[in-house]
Amino acid sequence: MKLYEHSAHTLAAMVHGGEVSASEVLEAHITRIEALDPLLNCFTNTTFPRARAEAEAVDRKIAIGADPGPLAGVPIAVKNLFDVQGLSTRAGSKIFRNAPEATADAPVLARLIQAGAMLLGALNMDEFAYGFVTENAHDGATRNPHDISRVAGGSSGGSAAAIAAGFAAITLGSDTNGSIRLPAGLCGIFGLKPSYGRIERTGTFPFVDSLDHLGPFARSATDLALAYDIMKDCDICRPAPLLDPSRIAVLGGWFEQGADPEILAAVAAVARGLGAAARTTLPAAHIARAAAFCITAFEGGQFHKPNLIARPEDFDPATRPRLIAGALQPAETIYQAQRFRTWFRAEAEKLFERFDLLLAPASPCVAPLIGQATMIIGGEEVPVRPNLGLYTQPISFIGLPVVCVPVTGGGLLPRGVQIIAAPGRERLALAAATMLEREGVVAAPLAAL
Amino acid sequence: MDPIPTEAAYLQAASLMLGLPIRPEHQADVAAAFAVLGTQARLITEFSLPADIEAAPRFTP
Repeated sequence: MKLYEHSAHTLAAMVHGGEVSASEVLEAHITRIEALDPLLNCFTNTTFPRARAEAEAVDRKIAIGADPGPLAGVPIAVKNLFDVQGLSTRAGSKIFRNAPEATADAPVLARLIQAGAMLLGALNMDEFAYGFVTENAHDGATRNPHDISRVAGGSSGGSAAAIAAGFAAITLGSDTNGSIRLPAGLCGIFGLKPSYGRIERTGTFPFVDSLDHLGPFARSATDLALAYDIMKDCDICRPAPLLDPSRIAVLGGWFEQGADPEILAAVAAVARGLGAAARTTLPAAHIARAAAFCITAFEGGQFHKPNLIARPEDFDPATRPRLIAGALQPAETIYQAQRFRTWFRAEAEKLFERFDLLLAPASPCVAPLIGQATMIIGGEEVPVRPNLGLYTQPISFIGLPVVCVPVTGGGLLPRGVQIIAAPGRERLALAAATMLEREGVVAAPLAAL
Repeated sequence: MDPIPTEAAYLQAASLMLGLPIRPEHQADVAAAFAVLGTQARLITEFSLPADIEAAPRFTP
């Protein structure tokens, strides 16, 4: 097995045990990136000299018998909206690519480095995180490692593709409307969107303050838990019950309307794997999606208004009109959307009195082709970009924690399934993902490149 | 898709009122994006909420 094929926890154990050095792990990943990233376009910046210094620091600790940390020798990378010392935080934009360099790492990244990780670089994304495809007008499209003619999903597309390609063992991304869960599902890897507010966002470029979340990607659920333990901030964890199949339900209604049959088959496979037979509905989920859609455009548009006035020509053409239109929405829309948010949260709380975990697709279809403008949902031709997040937006709208698990194999492209828990119950969703992985129901094999 | 006249008029007025100009070459795309938002907005505003439901944005004094 090649070093880049191992999970993060396996690599850390090998480094701790002296089986391999952090420097050897690092060089194996750098070689793979240099060989294959020109094909996939995951990285917008590499930080190999820094990573080599971090690897040497880990190896020195091992040599003197000191503890190098739980991520000893684990290669990582971050979406390019995280501050990385010495790099401009471009957030997928042309406007900020020459901004003053960050003087320090984002605190959440600093924690991973402190734990022994080695930073390989910054990763491609949709401009200002406003998209589901990572077809960036300034930095190009990131290609899906499982089929390079297809998108990696977005907006954290570089983060997901880098994991599927074996460029890193853990990457970080952000999720406002689905930007961790969608690319994780389309690239066939694991992704965690924690509860809203659970991970500190200082040192990251914002998109929509009231909806932004940070989280990790990996090729195993154990790695997600490992990263999450280091990243999580204030501990609002609610006691997690044991997995009880009678308290796990598949979400019907909105969450299956228009989904392709192979997508629904993936949800059914996960439900079977968990022994779940119940079905339920989250009322008015389509309005939750609409409310998230409008709030996103409004807050994002207001945030970027100075540059939309001063230099609109420098925005990605796919981003600019949505931000301008969003900023000009009537106050009534946003006020009622925020009122609806309160109502919808209460409806979800009622559901969690009966169920501990809810299952839903991450996307209505497998990865679309790069450049594909429209797709068929429920027999109707609709634009790709705004419709890939149909099933993720209602969930992040109320900040619920979700583990996206990959259903792969069978000659089909990867399909993601959301395992959704009540706020503060990341542990339970992670436990379900770990069980499914152990039983072979879900898996994140390296893409055959 | 052309926006319905009331949306076009609103967009022009809001652009002026809020000081966010729309360049001529961007107007068609902005109008299309606004039409999509309008469809979503109608779902929200037509949904009947109990009168005592308060808005959700965080405020920490």
